[in-house]
Amino acid sequence: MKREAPKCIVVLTSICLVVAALLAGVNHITAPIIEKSAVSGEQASLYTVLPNAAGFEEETLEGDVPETVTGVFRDTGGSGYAVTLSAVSSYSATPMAFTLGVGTDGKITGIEMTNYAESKDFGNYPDTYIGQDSALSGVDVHAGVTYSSKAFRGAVEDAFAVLVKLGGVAQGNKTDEQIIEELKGELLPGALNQAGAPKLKDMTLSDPTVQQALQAENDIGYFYVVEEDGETLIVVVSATGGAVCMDLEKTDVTEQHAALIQRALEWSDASAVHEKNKATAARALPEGAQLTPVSASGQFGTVSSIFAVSGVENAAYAMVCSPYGYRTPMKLIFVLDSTGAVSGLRVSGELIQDSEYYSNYTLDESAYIAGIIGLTRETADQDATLISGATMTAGGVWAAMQDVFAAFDSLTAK
Amino acid sequence: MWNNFLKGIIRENPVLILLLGTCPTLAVTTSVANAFGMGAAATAVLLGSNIVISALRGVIPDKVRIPSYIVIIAGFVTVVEMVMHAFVPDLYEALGVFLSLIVVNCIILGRAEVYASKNRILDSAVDALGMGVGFTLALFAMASIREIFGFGSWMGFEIPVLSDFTIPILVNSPGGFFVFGILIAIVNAVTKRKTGRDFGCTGCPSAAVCGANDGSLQSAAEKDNCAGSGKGLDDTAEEGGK
Repeated sequence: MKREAPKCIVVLTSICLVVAALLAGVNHITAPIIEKSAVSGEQASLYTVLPNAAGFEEETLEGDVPETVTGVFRDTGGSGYAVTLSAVSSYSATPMAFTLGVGTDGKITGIEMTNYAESKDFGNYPDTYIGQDSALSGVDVHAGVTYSSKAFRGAVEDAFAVLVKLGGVAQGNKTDEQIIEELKGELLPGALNQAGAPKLKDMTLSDPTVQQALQAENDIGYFYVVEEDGETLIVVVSATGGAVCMDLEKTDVTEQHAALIQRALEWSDASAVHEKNKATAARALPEGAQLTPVSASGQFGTVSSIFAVSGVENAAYAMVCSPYGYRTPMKLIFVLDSTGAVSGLRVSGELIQDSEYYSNYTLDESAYIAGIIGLTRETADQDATLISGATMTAGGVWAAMQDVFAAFDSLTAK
Repeated sequence: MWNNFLKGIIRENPVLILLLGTCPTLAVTTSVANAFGMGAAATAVLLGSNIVISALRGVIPDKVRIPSYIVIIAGFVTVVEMVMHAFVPDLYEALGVFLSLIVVNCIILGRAEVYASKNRILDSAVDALGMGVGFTLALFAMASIREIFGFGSWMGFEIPVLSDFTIPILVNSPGGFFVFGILIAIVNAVTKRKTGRDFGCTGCPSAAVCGANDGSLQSAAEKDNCAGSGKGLDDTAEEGGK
């Protein structure tokens, strides 16, 4: 036993040493290969989107970089850029991640989704982006996966913004249709639904210069595309009387086209809207209140009618707003006193639209309204409009309140 | 020599007769490609460790033989692991933890203890190859059944009609046990092997090489006794199925 012990120690130690030496030798050979393949695995998507790339070098980005852009890689062979992106939509389980390849001509060469955990499938939606430039004129929001595809598109736009800023690719030219589509949202923000899509309906006009005449579905204004002296112009008239004219460069040309504005105001007869709103607004006020429609210059989002109120204490103006709630536009009547504080709020119809409630929580509407009464532009706080479980309705109420204050400021400045 | 090789394939098949290495067998046989990879990795380790252990059989003292075997086997497994990671990363990912677990695969330690530690280098190498091929074939057969009927494909290639009528349970753990049991039954029927008579040395397929007490019935307790008796190298057969 005693004689055996040293032998055991020596043998076992020697075996361990020899094995360790062998492993060190093998590791010396395999470690660099393993490391290389790990790096190439990460970069595999870069080569998928820019197949002819020689190699990639990460660009250092300065200044404000959108959150969605996680990395910009330049092909050392000069064929373009690969951008890694990560976007979040309200339906994401985890951020969707994808790699975008953009050639030196500014066109998308490939898209590789590296993570997609949205609740609904995209199908081949990303493929519709291939061949597009930064204008993205040929792609639309994907029906059924509106939020996910908006997040996707937003990330692609961010990637182009970074690349253009970097000087890597040239800005693509937007088509007239695209600019018109963008102006709908920019000039009539109150007509955008909760998904950010402008909700407009066709109108019929006999004027031959009018190429397109649209009215907001929530009655807050009108949108015209007019051919004037060989130039395409956009005229937007608010139901409350303001009007603005823009060309396709998005320059305000209202002053140069006074005659056109005059014609547009004639096309936009909002008196029927005001008549209907007047009856609605009257119910928000005590008996005997006199309502007179007033016009204000400017566009006040979701406000469709403004009435001057007389004969009632604490009420100077009543404004009818139609913000988009969960589905269809809501109808809110805000009453403001002469200082601009909310002295009354009435909801026509149901505030919370069916199936919006996320939980079984129900809203005490009178307490909710009481929390808003007395607020002014200065004291208004988004917390007051929050409704637990009905975020979209609450967002609509908040947006409408901002519009009402803006309209009041414009009226009193006059 | 030829017999020595062949015994691992049917008569002493490590998986289906000796019932060793059950854990990796059930785990990696969901696809034929993985089964091949596992079989090849285990064969490589088995060959290396059998040769080295056989060469060192006169040097390693009895008392430290198990730690020595484990160190040698672990060394080979790590080598195989690093080589696979470097050259076949997909297979490395697919086999996952079971690759490292070859260290404690009873087939390898079992052959080291039962065979390599008392036979010449060449015989040990042949034994390792036979056992390795037997292990691989068993995995291959089992993986084929599970992949064909469970996924409707073979080696990753889709099989027309079957891919529409898969039996998903086959690629889950319970299905693994079903297939394993059926294969054992088939092999027993084919080899006309009598089972269940006793759990002593006589019923053991390794009795011949093991050289335990000339066929007399031994209780498990007696067996344990001789394993602990210091010079019981010839009497111990490490055959707990892992």
